[in-house]
Amino acid sequence: MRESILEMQGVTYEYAGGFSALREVNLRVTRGSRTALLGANGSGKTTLLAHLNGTLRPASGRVVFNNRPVEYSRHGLASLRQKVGLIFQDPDDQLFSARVYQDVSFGPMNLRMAEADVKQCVNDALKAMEIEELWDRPTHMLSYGQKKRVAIAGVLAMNPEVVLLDEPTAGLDHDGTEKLIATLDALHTRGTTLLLATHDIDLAYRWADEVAVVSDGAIVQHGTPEAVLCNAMLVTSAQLNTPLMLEISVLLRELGGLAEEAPFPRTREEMLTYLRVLVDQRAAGRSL
Amino acid sequence: MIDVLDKLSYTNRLRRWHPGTKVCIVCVMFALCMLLPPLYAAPPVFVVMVFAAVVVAGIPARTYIRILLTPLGFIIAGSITMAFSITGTPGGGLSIRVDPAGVGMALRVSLRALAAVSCLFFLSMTTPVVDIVHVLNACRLPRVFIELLLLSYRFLFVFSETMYRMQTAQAARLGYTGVRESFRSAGMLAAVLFVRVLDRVQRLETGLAARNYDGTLRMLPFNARSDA
Repeated sequence: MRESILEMQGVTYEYAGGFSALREVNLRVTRGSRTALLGANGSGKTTLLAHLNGTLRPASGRVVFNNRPVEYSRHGLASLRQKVGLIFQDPDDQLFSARVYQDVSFGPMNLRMAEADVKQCVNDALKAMEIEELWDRPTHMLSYGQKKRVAIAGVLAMNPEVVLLDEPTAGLDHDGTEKLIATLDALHTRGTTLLLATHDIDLAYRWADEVAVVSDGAIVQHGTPEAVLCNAMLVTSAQLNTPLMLEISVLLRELGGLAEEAPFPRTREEMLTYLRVLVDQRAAGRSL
Repeated sequence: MIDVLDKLSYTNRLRRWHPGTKVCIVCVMFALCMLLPPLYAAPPVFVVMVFAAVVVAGIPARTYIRILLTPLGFIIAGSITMAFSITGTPGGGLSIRVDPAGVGMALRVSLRALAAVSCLFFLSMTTPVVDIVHVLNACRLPRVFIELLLLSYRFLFVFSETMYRMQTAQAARLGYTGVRESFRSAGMLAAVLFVRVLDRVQRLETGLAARNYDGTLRMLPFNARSDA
């Protein structure tokens, strides 16, 4: 079993008024993994993420980072938040400065780095998000997609080991989503651990190495996307549906078009390529 | 109106002038219209500043006039009260009459106010707020003051956008069809906006805390360039 970087052990949390938001949550995030946290609206995804960077403190249970329980002192929180970055769903919750460059510099400046190093971090983050040309733009004149990229750059500038993203593709168009996924893949290659909360099951299926399903404030299943999402009962009870690519793959296997041990095509492109090959083979006179 | 001013400040022809120059011009003109007798100094100051904004910086005249109407309203209302004097008559009634001294004063005050407004307009239409902050920084203004200024500036847009969206939503459900409805809707809007403001501030604080905010808004100075 691979090493875990971030863990929740029996975490329970209640909002004021006794409304229970998290019930005995156990979650292990593997170092360097791409994990999708899947759940319907109001299932507790955001509350869960807020625990992982110390924004919320569990009523019982604990959060463990790098095998050490999180300390909720000023110093402990600061060191946790440098390494675990949280990107909020609404970029306006994060952007405070009148200009992009200054906003992105906020995190590194809080780490008390020298000005030259801060500039380096900011430039690298802007480059990673491909928004270098926006550096002197006022934040309120940006489009929603641009705001989102600036908000992410603000977190990347702190060089976190783990990046938590709350519904990062919500409100983005197709191009924006594809670009974001490409950026996330680049981060993954660099070794950053990614945890992405979403209700977009197709996105989770094509992107993640691991999927954890949240339902009614608890993790009901955690494993590979195929294993978790094939469980129709579970998926339905979490108010989700099965990914289209997965359903087609299962059907193809039933019809003998996909060998028993062959991996499932996960993305639209993989599926189309696979189907084209299949059709060609058929045209060449071979059996399906 | 705030977004019109802001857009102009980024797109006018004097955008690339050094903000210090623009601030200096405005300060000199402002001093002239405040220190010299307004009857002689204010009209030329007004003409020069309007010329600088409309002809030199290329601010559309229609936009300029439209924005000028708001302060003009206040100036007129103020000078009317100065020009008339109300006195009690022995019979117990009130007499309202034009006061010659008051008329002179009203004229002087209005001219001076108008000239001062034109100075401020020139600055706010040609210089983005971040550039002004750059100058304030160079003047060693206390940090707290600048942080507050920037936060209010940022939030003006968040709120005006929220307000605009809510107003549109209310109008779509016929909230502004009559006078009664308009008053009711505007009242509800104000109440909701207040709650939203508090909520926003709280959310922003959480968002900043995630980037290690500890009460001081640290960021690179505004003269820092990305290519440096």
